[in-house]
Amino acid sequence: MRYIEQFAWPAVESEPLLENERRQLEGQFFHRLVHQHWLGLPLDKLSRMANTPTLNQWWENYLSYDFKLKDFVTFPELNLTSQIGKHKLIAKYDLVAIGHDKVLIFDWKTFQKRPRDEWLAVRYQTRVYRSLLIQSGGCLKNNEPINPEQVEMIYWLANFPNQPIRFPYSTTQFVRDWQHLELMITRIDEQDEFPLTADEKKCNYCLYRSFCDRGISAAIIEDEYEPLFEMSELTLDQIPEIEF
Amino acid sequence: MINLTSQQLAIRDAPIPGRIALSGPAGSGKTTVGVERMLHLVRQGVFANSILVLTPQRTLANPYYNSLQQNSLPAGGQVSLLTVGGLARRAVDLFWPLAAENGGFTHIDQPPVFLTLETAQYHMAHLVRPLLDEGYFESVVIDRNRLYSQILDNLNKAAFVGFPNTEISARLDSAWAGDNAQRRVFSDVQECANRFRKYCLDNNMLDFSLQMETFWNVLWPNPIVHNYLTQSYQHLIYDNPEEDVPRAHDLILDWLPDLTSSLFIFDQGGGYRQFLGADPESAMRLRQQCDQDLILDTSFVMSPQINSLVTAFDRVFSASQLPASQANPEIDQALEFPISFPASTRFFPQMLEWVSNEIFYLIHDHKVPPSEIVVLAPFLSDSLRFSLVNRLESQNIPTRSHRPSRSLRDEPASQALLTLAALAHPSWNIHPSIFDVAYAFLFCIQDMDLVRTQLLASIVYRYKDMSLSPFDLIKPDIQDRITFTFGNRYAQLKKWLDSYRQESAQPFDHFMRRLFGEILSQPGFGFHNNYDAARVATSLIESIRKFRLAMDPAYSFQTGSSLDLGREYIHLLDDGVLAAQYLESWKPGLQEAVLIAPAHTFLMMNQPAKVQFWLDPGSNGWVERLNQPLTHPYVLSRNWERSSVTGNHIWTDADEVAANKKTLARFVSGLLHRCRGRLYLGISNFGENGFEQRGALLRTFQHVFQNEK
Repeated sequence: MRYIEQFAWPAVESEPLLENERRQLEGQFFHRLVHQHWLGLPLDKLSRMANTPTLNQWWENYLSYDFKLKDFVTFPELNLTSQIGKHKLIAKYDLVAIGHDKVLIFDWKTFQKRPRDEWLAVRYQTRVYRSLLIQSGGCLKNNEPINPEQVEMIYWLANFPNQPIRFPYSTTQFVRDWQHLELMITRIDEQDEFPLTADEKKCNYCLYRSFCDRGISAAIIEDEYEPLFEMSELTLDQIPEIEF
Repeated sequence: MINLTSQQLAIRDAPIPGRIALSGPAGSGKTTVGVERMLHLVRQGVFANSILVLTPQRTLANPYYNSLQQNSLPAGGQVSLLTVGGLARRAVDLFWPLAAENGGFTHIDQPPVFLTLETAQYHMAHLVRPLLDEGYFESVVIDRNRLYSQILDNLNKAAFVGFPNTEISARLDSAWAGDNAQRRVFSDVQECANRFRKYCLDNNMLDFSLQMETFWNVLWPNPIVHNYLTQSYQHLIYDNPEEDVPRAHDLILDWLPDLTSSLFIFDQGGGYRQFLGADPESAMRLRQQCDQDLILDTSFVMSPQINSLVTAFDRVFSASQLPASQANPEIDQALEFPISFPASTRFFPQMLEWVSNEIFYLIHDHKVPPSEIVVLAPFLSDSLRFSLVNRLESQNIPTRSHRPSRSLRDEPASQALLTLAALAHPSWNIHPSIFDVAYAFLFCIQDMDLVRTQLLASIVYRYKDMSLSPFDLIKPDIQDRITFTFGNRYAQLKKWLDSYRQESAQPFDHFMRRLFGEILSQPGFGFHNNYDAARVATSLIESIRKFRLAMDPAYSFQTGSSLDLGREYIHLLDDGVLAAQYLESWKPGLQEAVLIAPAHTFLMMNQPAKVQFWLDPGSNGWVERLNQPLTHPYVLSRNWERSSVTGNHIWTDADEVAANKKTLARFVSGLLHRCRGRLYLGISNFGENGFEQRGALLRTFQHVFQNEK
């Protein structure tokens, strides 16, 4: 509905709405602070912006963690894209670090509970980010191809700074992931109708539940569920410009 | 695959390092070259993230955006398509810790609050309203929201041109030759602008002008920011710089030494956005810095006949004065020009009838695709839009309408939502009328008719305490008339509202989202599967949300204060300050449809059409600028600075006439350069407002035809 039909539906996605909004904004602030840090903004100026208890805690955790990237070239908030079938696949990386024989993908997460490794492993984000970097990341290395075995994706958890979740990569995984993505996109392209999901639990966290007559109220979010999409969701390309 | 001429190919394939200026009239394939050059750079291995495509308005970047979407390109980064405003906004957001400290903001440990046009107007209203009671702007008769927006506009002009915002009044005053009362008005404008700027700095708020000034004055000179931008972007394609503001040109001039390649694409005869601060003369400075100055002068759009019409107009406009008003404004049939107009129409609706019949004839007999037909007017009022759309749709002709702004408060879906919001919040003390409640039922309860909704509202709604009584208490025979199906839906709605009244307060936009999702978009209710209503609800809720976040810069999420903000929002909506306008999506939507748009909007869409209808060419709206007593687009410009070095330059009637003539010439040329085949003039003796029409555009047509006889 949202991406193919571009159909807005301003219902509540998940509860508690106010708390989720606060978390989401704090998460955005944290991402922004880390981005600013990688751009070289003075630490004292950044630290005073971490002005809520949660944000301050995340920030301190971040500063005290050694990411061991001294010899890496870093690309914060990097957009990469590749053609896949008739479409463009685009990902926005929190940080890509290119080293001599390693390419690291960092993703900052502000989950309240530490997610299970298996849950993250099968997420599309894990599969898309790594495979897309193989496809398109050569431009970061003077057009030298990136070997899947060099790549590792690291979810760094602001609430669990010493328990990052790491996902190395391999050529086999890359081939499997890319083929899977191509297959999924082809299926979506070929599909004229999209039947409603059999797993109605998902509808509890979907904006369009009333459109599909799949319930009244939004469910309370569980930690492992990140919002699928939010009205307030922003990417840099969506930052509104004031026309003059 | 686009077939390029050898000249276009040469520009596309020019060596990558270097600066190229490309100019030519509209329709000569300049933007096509720009797009191809961008693709060429990426295909040659240039890191796409290092390419910046700059346009003065987002719509002008559409060809670049579409091309990036449609073309298969090597995997890699993404080209940035931005306006200078967008670039500034991102930079301020990203480098806020630097901006806050050096830009004079009070709370350097708090995030910035970016004001939209409407939230800026809200804060301006908050500051100016008490001053109005003290007698400020006494001699000015103008809608309050226009008053607020013109003060903001002055601040924008100061930022665009690059003069201190404390000099607004002095500049306006020095060019004024009329009534002395106006000088007091200029002084009031300055006082309000000063107060607004201080208020923004004290509260970390950035309206558009402050975003620009912070970027240009504080961030761009900072080495961290400067290095970030110059290292991020090494290739620039700047399309239509003549439609941009002088400070944008200053920025790029400063940036040029760090750019590996640059291509500047000038629309000859452009400058349509001068009333918004565009400065074509300033843009020429960029051209002077280029290694190559290339011209494409063959139109791929205009037919030879339209071309000859352009030439005929040029002759008239190059004369010293526009033709004088004539007693009889009727014009003769053009000899060989591809122009049509009605034989004799006295009244405006007759002319609209003629327009819709001609469009029908074009589509059905001449097989002109609807998308190749545009209907243009100097302004597009609601009534004109409705009249035309209605006539065309009755002939099964699809239409699409582009206006830069539309009123949210006038949308029935918004009105229904706001009425229910008032009922849910009795403490606001906003009492909807019984008609408002009936219309809310009409919109919200699916398939319920007006007779039943009025009957229901008259029975269940109590104006005094804004309560709704249960359906069960209605007499059985009346229940039968209303029907139990509708009664049941009403009962669900009432139950939801009653239940909400018992809960603790929540932010207004959250209330709206729940109302929409939990009841109004459920099966049996008016927003269910109603795409248009959902779109309006989304815009309204987004407007409310932005308003809330702008009012709560520290994101303290105080629900009590948010509740009061709901009442405040509705009051300001009623005053026309908030959501009086919101930018409609520029997404093309229905493509195979006749476009109905203001002429200026069409020009800035920059897409040609086979057939153009110009409505009401006798209207002065084609020529005269809007009445803006608190600002002045020409006086507050660099051209005025350049021409008034002695400091004694007064804006006279002669200046006004000359400026109008220039504007008209530019408009006519711009529109004709975007016309492939034929022009239809929607002429009537009396215009939309019932006045006899003798405006300069009509007189110019007379002159053109007389010259050709």
